[in-house]
Amino acid sequence: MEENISIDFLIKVLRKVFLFQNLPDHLVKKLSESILIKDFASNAVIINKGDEGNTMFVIISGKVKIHDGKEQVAEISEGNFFGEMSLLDDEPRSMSVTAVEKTSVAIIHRNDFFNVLNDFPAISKNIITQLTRQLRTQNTVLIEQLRSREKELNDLVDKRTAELATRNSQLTHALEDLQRSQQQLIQQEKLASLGQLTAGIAHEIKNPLNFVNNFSQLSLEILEELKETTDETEKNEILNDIKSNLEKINNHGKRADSIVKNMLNHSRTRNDEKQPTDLNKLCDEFLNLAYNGMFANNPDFSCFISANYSPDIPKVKVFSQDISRVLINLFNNSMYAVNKRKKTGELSYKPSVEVNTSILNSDVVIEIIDNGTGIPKEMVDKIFEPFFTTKPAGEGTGLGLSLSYDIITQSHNGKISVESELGKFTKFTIIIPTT
Amino acid sequence: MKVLIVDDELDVEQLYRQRFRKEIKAGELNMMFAFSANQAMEFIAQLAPMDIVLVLSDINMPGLTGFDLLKFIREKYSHLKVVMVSAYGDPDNMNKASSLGASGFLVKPIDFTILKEKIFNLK
Ligand SMILES: [Mg+2]
Repeated sequence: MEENISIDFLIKVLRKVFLFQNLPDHLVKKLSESILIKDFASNAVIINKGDEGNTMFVIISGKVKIHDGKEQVAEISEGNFFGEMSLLDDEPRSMSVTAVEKTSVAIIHRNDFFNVLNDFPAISKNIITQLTRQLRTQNTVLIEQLRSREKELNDLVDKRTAELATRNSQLTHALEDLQRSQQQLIQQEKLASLGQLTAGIAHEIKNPLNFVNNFSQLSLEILEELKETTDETEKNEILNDIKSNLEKINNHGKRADSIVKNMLNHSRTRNDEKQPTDLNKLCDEFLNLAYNGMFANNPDFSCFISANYSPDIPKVKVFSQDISRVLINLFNNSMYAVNKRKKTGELSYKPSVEVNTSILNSDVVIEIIDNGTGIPKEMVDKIFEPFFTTKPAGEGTGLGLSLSYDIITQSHNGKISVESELGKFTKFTIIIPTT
Repeated sequence: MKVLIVDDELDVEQLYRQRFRKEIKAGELNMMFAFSANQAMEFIAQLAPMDIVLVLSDINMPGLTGFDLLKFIREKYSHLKVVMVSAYGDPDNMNKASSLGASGFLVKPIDFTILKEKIFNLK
């Protein structure tokens, strides 16, 4: 007991405490004599949750909060008491208590308390009443906290839902934008590959047209000769020539016609249905176009072409424009690669591109092999990714192979793969199921 | 006189043979055809090269091109005249042909009147 606090003062304090209201004077006096007074600074911890407890506290002055971590259960001041629970049940402290301001407490030891209880059992009623009150208050506080928690949670859910809705609509817009630009890119890629083809197409058409012009002009001239001659043998000879020339005109006319058709097919948006297609013929046509296109753009270009088409390949239902885009892409790439290697001036280098078709387990296999620059190992895996290109800026859209990949794997249920060795070769294999 | 015509299009043979029917019949002209630069090189190497006076060569052919053939002839058979024939009459091609030593350049479709002049001026 501190000297500056008198017994009388303590008796007054204890009298104010509900618990001890009915206590006879001599017992209050007895209790106050055994009390310890202790001062706590603001924020000082008085009880730690989990501590062993054999004392209870009466607030003489100041204010404390009863809390579990950050959760505050109550705030009590002068005349109130705390810590009685552990005193009664012998369990560790269930809550922490911290001084809110400078606080002075009277500490009652368990033994002293129970002595009072023995001498005056009626105090039990006060204890029960007080405990019930405390429980009610704590209950209300807890329920209020729960309610406000629930509201917080609801608000949070509402806020998050709104955020998600906004985000969702942003994503939808972004997706729409992406789809639009993807369409544009596909169109650009189509135009780019058509551009690469134009020179080849022009040449491919010019050759048969030249023949049409030459053979028709020639036929007109030898018709004049026919009129002039009297020799029967010569007449027959000339008539045969004219007949044969007309056949040539017809053939070359058809050749030009089919080239124009192919070109239109290539630029047109896709048919809705797959058409039975002769893949050998398709390969050959586009191999020629690619070759001539490459030559037209690079007068120095030359390369050995070896094409081995299997006669066993049936007509396969495909989107032929799409497949031809894949082919032209791969042919262009392979010719670009051999031309690039040729430009390095390597002695005895013989640029060549090989195209093989075959049938394997009812799948059509198309191989396109070039002995060009090859692809570095670390790039082989990325080659079918959109916008990946090994060509200098402006020479490729970087979309050719990724679109080819989509066309083969998605539209045709097939496979496309690549093998390559830097400085040696690149081999693309396309597998298209016939069923 | 012997003329070697090199072109990957097979139909040029029928075209030239009819065009020069009279000259061939009269024995003024002997025409040979090769359908690739390689085949042309074999012909030139096998036959008495002195027989051939003129080579008319296409440029754009699979495998070796007309330019490769032109280089080959200039290196080994310098007396042979070579005229390039191409659908590509652009300055690049023409300059390259003349720098490699071609005697002329004809753009397809061939004007046979000019071609006849070229051939018979060689005499
Ligand atoms: Mg040609």
